[in-house]
Amino acid sequence: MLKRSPPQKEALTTFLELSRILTGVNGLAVDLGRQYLDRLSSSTFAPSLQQVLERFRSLGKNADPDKVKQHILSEATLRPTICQIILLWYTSGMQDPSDPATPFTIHFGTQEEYFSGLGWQLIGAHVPGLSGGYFGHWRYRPENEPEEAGD
Amino acid sequence: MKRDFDVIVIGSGVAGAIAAYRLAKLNARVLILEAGNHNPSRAQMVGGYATATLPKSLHSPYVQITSDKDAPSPDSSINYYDTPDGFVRFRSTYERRTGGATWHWLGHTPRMLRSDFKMKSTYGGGPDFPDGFVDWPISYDDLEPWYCEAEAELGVAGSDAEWQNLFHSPRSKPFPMSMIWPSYSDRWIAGQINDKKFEGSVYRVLSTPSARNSTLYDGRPPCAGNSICVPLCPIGAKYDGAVHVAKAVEKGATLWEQTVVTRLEKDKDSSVHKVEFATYGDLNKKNRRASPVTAEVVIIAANAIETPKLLLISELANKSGKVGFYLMDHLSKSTYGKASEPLFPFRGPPSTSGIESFRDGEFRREYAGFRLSLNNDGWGRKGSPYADIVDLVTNERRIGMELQQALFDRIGRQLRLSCSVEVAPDPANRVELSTMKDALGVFRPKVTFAAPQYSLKGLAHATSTMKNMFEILGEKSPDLGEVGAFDGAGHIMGTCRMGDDASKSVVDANCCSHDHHNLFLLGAAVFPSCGSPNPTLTIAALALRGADHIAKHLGLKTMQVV
Repeated sequence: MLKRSPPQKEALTTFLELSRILTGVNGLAVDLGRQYLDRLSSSTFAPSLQQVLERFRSLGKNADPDKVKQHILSEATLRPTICQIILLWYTSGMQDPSDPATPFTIHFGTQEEYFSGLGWQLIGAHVPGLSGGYFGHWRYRPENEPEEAGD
Repeated sequence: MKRDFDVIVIGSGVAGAIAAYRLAKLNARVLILEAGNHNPSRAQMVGGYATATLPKSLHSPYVQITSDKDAPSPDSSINYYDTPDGFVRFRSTYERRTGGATWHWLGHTPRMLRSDFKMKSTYGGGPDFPDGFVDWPISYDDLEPWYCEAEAELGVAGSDAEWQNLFHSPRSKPFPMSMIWPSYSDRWIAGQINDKKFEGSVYRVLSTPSARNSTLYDGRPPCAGNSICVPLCPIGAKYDGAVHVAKAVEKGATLWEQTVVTRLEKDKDSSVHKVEFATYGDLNKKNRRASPVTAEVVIIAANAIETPKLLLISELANKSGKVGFYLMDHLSKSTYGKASEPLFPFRGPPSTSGIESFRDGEFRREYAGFRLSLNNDGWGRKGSPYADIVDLVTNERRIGMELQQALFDRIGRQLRLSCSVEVAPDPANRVELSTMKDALGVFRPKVTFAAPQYSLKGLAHATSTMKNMFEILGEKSPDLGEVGAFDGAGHIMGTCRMGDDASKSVVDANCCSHDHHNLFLLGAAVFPSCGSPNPTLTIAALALRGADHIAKHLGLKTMQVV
């Protein structure tokens, strides 16, 4: 594995901490974070990503979802990048911002990334193609059953 | 004259593969000619599927395939069908690959009903239809033992209690495996809807028989509910034609892949022994003879578009002038709504249960019967969960735990209902030869298809039935799609119909050409009518029955099917 320079390490640390707040998931895989950061950095999201990370750093150690919403998500130019970071962690998919007419043309990275999508578990499901379950598990409510919010 | 082989089978989908296996097992010298090949492997296809761009399609696992250029698949991005002006491109497609389109089927194996074989004598011609329905030259009872054989060969899981004597169509043997378990969603829906009536029929949710293992069977594992039966089963729990290709080869059959049959030649006595072909690539090249190759019996099992195409190119089996006519598919439509309780979609097989109540009845004098499927894939076909994530973050500004909660609230109750509507055999729907050719110089198919009024009326009733179901399940405003709009079901049938009258049909009751005593057509091309069930089990049963007849034709000792 290539050694990362200190700025890159810092960027990864910042990206992982921001990702934790955005996804609501603790203990995100560092290797995946590195891959997602690389994909974003080599995409059309790169300039905006730098702004997002800078803005997040400026929130300091007490950053929380409300502050991220107030200081980053509220800004229309940064919102697509925030959305993209979440989409990566949840599904490993990347939107094609050059093609706004077809917003759900989504590109995927590696197989490892696809099968690591976290969003499926969050809805009590599994990544299509890899249930990890036994015959008939679909007969029952999921073991990782989420709860609906009250009315 | 000594021929190169006893039997040449053109096409290695379920019909060709099963026939090849049965005949090779009886020591016939069998050659299978397949236009595609067996690459990429299952594992490579799973990887291909995972990394393919969304929306993922039937062709997603095959993006690496090399045969597309020379043996185009309508599944691919190549615009293979020639569509006449004023018509919409025929929506159902197939994959030219060893094992055929069963690589990307759901695995559903309902039988045709007794009345499906006798539409004319049961319900008359149909008021809006020029040629009307015809009866098959065989009955449900004739095919029933072969249905049992087919269920054993494919490995079908089903519920004997639910499916015994459905619409007077008895079963003489139990399913080889107990049923694929209904999903949580199916069970909840059944609890809400069973025994309620709509338009004279009673709702009854039944588990759908499937060629998908519910236990270890034929060396293949039980289904793990990986959810991507279409376009492929990652673990081989679901049957595909490659299973019988492998069995045929094990019994001594020869398989030539990347071999596109270009023409059949008839002898002076009208028998057909000579098969001309073109090859591409270098697969298996060292052992291959030069074109042509000969056999005592030739079987075309190349699906209901490639089979008539080859006959038309070869100017064979068409004294009736009916080759290519009566193309059928099922009209498919998906509707979307939300249930009043969480159903936990995106788990398990994409569909595990359905409603068969509307497949038959006096109404078929006026409009088409239909099957209804309960699906476990939420609104995946409308972009969920990707679209939901984007919308929740971008428009509702949700992140973190709040996003997780909102995402489940959005998706947990999603439900897709779908229908599969019988298509009447309209002579205007047909396969002809295009003036355009593919890379190997073979004529491409020109495909004309428009839904008959009889079937569009059935589609309207199916849609109103799904609307009623959604109302019962708690959705007052389901997305029913555009009125009259439909999709293809991937069930390509007709075009070389079976019949007793040689002036009005292409093959006889044994799937033998009326015009050539040693030319057999196996597959859904021979269906004179189609009912509303998925056709694969009927294809397999007819192939087994046809193979038995061919074995007798060749003087091979056969086993009696009782």
